[in-house]
Amino acid sequence: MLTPLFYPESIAVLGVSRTPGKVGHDIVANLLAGGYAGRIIPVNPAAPEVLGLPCLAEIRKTKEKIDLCIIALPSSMVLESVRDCLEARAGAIAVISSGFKETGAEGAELQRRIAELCQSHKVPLLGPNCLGLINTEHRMNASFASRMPSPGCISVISQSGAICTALLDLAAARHTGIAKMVSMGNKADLNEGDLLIALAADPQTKVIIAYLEDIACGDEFVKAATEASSKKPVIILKAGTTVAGQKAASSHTGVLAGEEIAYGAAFMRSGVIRADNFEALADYGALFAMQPLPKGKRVLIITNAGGPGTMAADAVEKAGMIVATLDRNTASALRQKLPSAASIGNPIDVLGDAEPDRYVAALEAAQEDEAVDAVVIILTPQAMTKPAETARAIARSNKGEKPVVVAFMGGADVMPGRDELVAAGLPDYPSPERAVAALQALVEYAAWRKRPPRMVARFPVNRRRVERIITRRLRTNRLQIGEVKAKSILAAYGFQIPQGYLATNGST
Amino acid sequence: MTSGDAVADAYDLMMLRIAQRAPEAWIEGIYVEKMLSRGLEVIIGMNRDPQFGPMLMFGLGGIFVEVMKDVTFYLAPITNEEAIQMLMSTRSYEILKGKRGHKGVDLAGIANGLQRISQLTTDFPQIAELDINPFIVGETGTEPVVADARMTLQSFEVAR
Repeated sequence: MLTPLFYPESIAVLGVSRTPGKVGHDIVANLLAGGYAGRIIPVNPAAPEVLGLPCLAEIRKTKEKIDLCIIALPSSMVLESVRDCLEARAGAIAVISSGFKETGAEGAELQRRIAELCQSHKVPLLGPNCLGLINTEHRMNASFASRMPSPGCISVISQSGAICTALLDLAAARHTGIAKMVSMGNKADLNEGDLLIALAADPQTKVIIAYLEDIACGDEFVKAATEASSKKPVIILKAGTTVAGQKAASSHTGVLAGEEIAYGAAFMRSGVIRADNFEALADYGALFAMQPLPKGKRVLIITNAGGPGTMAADAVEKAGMIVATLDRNTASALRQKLPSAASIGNPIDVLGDAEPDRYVAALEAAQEDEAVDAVVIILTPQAMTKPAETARAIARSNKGEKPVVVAFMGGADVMPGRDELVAAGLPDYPSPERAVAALQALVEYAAWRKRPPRMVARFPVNRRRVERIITRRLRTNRLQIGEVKAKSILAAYGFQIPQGYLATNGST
Repeated sequence: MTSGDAVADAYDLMMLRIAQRAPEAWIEGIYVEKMLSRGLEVIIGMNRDPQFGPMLMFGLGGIFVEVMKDVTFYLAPITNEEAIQMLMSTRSYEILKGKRGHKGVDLAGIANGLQRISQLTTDFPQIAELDINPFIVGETGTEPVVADARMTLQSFEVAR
């Protein structure tokens, strides 16, 4: 349904300037630089051409088939140009321009009218006030972010354009690659629910990561997120939850509840993996993109130093996972390959002078052992340590059947090793804690995917009795229900209440 | 109170005192209830979130809820597995299970109660808030009892 948005054969850009640095100009430049193979139609009544492309004076009367219209005009001109695009039978519209809901009531009203107009024509609208979108498979950078990412399997949905550009930059540094990136802006029409469903159905997307500040509709979100999570991992960073929404609640439950808790409950129901910060969003995204889901939660730790191994084991237990116990046969076979001083428990300590071969021996043992579901590998820079060689050796002997997370701790000395890990498709983390946190997300998601089908029981109850009580109370506007009536309602729903009666005189 | 006469005397005494100290009070009556056997006090409740609808809460009564805020919330409707999961994800679960010679309480009874308020608040969007506090839970095999409960309604126009 969003094909004209993600895979347009032709794109018109409205509000194209000949000045580099202006949004309209840069979008055309980015489309060209990204290698977009479809037709690009700049619209400008005053200029004959922009960046070597002939301009259309106005879009309204064009005979050409235009799939996607991108509008980068001042907000006062947007409504009129949306009308023109609809008349030109555009398949989808993206409004980059700002000056809408984020500016106040007048902007919100303008935004509402634009959305209503698009909805009445059944044309999806992205934005306004957004960065645009990218589809690497289609070689389309329809955004004003100049960096075209390499193709990958992670797709990004974001309510903040800046988070998009930060993730693009990070993806470039860590070679993770991007499938699709959508900046939602003010979400006048298309919102997280629509995009989750679209990306869930997208074969290029293996992992969805999202940055959200609010959710347009709770019910729709839970439905869409559950559907998406059932197919692929959905990782969400939800900002803006700390605002103390002080409300008048008369119950204990009401006082303890709040927006933050509600989002937590909604994410848990939907199988959404929650990232608490930007680091976690990127950390989890990389792990889910690169490694398989584990069968269980038994974790083996391989380290070249005692302290970091203990840190990792602590983190594993705290995260609700299990420090695996090696099978006896595995342990004795490994014993032959490691020096006698090495510790063959869990953590496996391959000792400070370990060269790549010891890491390989331990990793191979872990991969063969049925009692191990996932592996954490830790390296610290010591006198004999060869980070780059070790990274390559780990990558070579990793069979890819169990998830492996790697933490090379340090800075300058280990960096060549970290770069090797990333190049080989292994998720790399600067500390055991971050590696284990990402692994925990992977383990919890794997467990959610295997959950039994939800069966909500229906108890036989006396619904009509409750209906009568509530109707009477609402009619007389007595909204606080005290002990006596509350107990009657609960009794009608099968609760046991103490024997009792309302005494109105002193006789027994 | 150990006899009907004692209850009648207490009734008269209370009415007399109320008439003296708060003559403006309008009294519907005095609720007389059978004394409950002892048990563990827990709270189960519901708060309707404007975005996500009814959210169920579970917590162990007293300081566990009031001070330590050791509670869990789940979106309604819940399954039996999710109700059990709600109990297990509180820190006070160790107490519910029983420890050091103390017998555990009837976990199935609490899970059942949570599912029943899940059904009630899903059936009736007019209920904005609900507290069963305390919900008194005995040993395994007994049935928990509602010792006190409150609800707040909202007019149907705003209900969702």
